[in-house]
Amino acid sequence: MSTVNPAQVFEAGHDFSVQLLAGSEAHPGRFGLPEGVDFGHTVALLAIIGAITVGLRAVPYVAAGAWKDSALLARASIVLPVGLMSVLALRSSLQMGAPAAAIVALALTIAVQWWRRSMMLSLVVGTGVYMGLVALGVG
Amino acid sequence: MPHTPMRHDVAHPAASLGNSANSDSGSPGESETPTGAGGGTFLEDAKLSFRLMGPMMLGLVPLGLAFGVLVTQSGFSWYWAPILSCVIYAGSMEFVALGLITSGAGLITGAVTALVVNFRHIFYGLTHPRVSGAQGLYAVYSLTDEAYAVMAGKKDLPERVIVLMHFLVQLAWIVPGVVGAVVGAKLPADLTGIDFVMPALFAALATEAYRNSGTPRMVVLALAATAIATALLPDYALIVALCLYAGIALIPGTMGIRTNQPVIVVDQEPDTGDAALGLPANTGDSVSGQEQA
Repeated sequence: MSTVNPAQVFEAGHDFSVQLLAGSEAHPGRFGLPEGVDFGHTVALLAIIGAITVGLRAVPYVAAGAWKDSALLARASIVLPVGLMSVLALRSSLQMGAPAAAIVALALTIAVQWWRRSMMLSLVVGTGVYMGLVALGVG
Repeated sequence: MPHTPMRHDVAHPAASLGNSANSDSGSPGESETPTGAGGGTFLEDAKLSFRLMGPMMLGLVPLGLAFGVLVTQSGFSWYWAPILSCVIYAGSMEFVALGLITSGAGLITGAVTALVVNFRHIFYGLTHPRVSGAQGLYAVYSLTDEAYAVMAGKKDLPERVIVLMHFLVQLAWIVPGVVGAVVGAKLPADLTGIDFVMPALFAALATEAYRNSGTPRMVVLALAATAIATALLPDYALIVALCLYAGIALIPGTMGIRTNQPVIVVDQEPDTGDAALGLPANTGDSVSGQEQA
């Protein structure tokens, strides 16, 4: 007769992993990142985003003149902001946990912004309404 | 709506305050022309920078707090708030970066998103006062919406004042971020839905962008592109939708616009310096009749 009960071993291991999980839920994981987020990938992502941001800001200093009169860039400055921000707003809303609630909150955010032109007010109202709808169980 | 080239919406009171303040400080030149490279002592320059940037800094505080809360509520340690604000240092992009990181987005997605979200920054250097030397590198790195909004076209500000103003903006963004992050870590962890700040931020930016240079066709195309991309290629929907939109909207004659002049708009800036913030009317001594381009 065996002295080791496999079920006990499993349970012990299970308990241990549960403890680990509980510990890591209370605090962020390694390198202060959320669970399951890779440190190296995060660093690479931040570096690329940071480099592109600075690069965009540096363009007029590095390449003066030539592009200033570009018709394409002039057009881009007119048509891109609205469209790109709209795409980002709708797409990120659809990816929320409760897309229906997100669409409602999105419409309200736009209405408040159009009405009062206060970024902070729009964010507070929009986010508050979304959180309220989710708490009420609206999908 | 009118399309005014080089238009920016905010900070005119602060800008004109700068002119008057600077002419007080003993410039031998014309009163409407701020003194050039000379500047004053460090303390004088710091005071001037603070007077010019103060209202804008106040406007940044609530947004910085919100960002910090979101950082720790998303599962990061508090110190990721200042790290993000130094490596990326572009408010709305930092909100987006949080989402990209937690959703495990790829590097190409990150790059394209950064290009799109921060595209407007490519125009800022055209009219922003320039700074030479190593300080100039910092000035380019920290050329945010807020810095641009207050200083665009004011080429005669002393270089040290420009750099100090940039630094003050970054301070007014990072410090509330840290505070918000530390506070956010103490809040109950079930603030489900607080990540809606990001879509809300984009919606508000889109609304302001529409006000400045939008046409209904642009909105329709953007919504259609998003819907199509979401239905066909959900995994790459964002990039596909963005490319679809840009590819069509950049073709001349498609969007019903009425100007070919570049439109430079600071669409990041909230209600800085207006009555909504309840600021004292210390920006009210703007020089009357002094025209800005």
